[in-house]
Amino acid sequence: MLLELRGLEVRYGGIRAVKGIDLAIGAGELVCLIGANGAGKSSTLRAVCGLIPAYAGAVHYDGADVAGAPVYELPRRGLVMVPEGRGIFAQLTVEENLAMGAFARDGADAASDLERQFQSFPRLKERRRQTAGTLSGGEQQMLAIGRALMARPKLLLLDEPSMGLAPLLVAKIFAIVREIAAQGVTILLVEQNARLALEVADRGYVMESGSIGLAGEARHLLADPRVREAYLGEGAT
Amino acid sequence: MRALFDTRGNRALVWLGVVVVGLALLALPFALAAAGTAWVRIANFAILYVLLALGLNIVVGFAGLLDLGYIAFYAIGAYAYALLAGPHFGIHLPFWVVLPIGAALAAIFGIVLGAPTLKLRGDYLAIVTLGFGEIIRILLNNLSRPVNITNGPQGLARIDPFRIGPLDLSSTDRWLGLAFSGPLKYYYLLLLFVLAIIVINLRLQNSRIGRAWEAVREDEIAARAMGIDTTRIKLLAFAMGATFGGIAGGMFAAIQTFISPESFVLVESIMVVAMVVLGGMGNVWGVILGALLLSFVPEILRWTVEPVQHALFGRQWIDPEVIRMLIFGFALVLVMRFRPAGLLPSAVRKRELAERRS
Repeated sequence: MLLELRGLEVRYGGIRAVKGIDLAIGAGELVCLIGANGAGKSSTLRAVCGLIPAYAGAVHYDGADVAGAPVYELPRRGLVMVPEGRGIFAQLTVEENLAMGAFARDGADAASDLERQFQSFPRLKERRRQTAGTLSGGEQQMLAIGRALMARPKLLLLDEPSMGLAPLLVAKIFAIVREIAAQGVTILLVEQNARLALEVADRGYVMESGSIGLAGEARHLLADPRVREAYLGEGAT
Repeated sequence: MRALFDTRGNRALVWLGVVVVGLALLALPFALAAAGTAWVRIANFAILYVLLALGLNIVVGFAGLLDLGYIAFYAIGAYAYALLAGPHFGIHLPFWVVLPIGAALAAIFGIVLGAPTLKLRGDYLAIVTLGFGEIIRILLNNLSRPVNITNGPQGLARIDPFRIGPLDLSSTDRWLGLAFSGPLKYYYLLLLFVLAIIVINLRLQNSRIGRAWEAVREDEIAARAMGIDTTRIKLLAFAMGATFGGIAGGMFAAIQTFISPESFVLVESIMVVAMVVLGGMGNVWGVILGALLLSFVPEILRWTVEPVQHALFGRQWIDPEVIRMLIFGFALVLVMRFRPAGLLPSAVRKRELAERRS
């Protein structure tokens, strides 16, 4: 297992946002974590990459316990996050943003990686000298993903990549996610758009008020009547 | 204006420019000395302000941390020098020992200020740093009892000048038939320091550290997600900025030979921030321009406002000090209105403002 959470608990003050969950991702898998707003998905992800402390439980990544490891430490070990809301450097150019992605590995062979990102995202190449803040939402999301790939991640954490995007763009972003996974990058995808997430993922976890309700093969979850009713907007028939 | 500093242009032309500017800077004090030694002193203080502004530029311009108490580090450097090279404790260490001590002490205080304020940004950080500056000044004012450390508001006098072997930088020497007065020699030493700090600033800007600062200034969470240790990088900015402040303070004490807490009031901090902002935050050349303008223009006004009034009206209508600040303030307002990113804005700042407007 590349990433393994055991009994992970996150608290904000007295409120338990994540109530002791178990989750595991093997190398090369694309796993999604779906659930309604406020189910604790993002809290889980933030605890994994150290943005918020885990109250209890263990986070094992690549054979080491990383709970409590500082955030900046993880990209060096190949655990890279695309933050919710994209978190691009709005005043830097597209190219500067991408270059910043290679910071964790001291920018070694950043040039060839940059070319690779431009190949995957031709739109970014067209706008390489434009400031990132002037990009459209979809382009910004592509930039955020491209920037994360510059760090050559082993495990990529995506926090709500569909947020605030038009449906057509969402489909595009998910196609990109699928492609990245096909290149051998392990991905944990946190997403509210359950259908799309389950369609691209190998496996899925369904989170409900801080706990994992269901887990399994993505296609099984897609067919599961409980998931269909609660998350895919279909009535129980 | 940008083309002026674009080194990708004609290299020969750039080098010619460097030589011309260099020669002009070497000859300048002689021209100033002809107008009066006071002008050489004014030039020296202008260079000290350049040092300070470049130091603050690291904190404000590069890392984006608004520091309104920067003068405290200047004070720490100055007092460190005055106490370790002066009659107050009877310690007379040479400047090359004291200056690094003052710089290190300032750096430590920089970290002391930086550590508890790591989570603060913008206005909140400005308020805390402002308080820090005042605390240092009030401390210096009151550390005369029960044990007299700083001599309180009376300040410290008869501070040692810089001495290198038999060479005393405060006295006049005759070399090659030219008179080298104290201020003149300090001018050249200061020039050397400024050159070093300019080089350090430019190198920092294009370094890994510089990029990390840029990322922190833009978005701290994203910066951390990129693998940047934001805590360390911010403390580094505070410490480096403080170091330059400390060095400038030491030089100030040696040149002035007298210091008191009055030299380190809030207005001084604001002045240095104004230099950085007016010149163009984050742009080394802009900051230098800002520092030179804000230190020279008031002096020039000081010497011209009165004669001009006499010539125009035959008598003095308005107190020169008042009109000086009036013109000065008005000029600042104009600059902020028409060049809000500073006189020579950094590329990124220019973009920021352009975006905010569109």
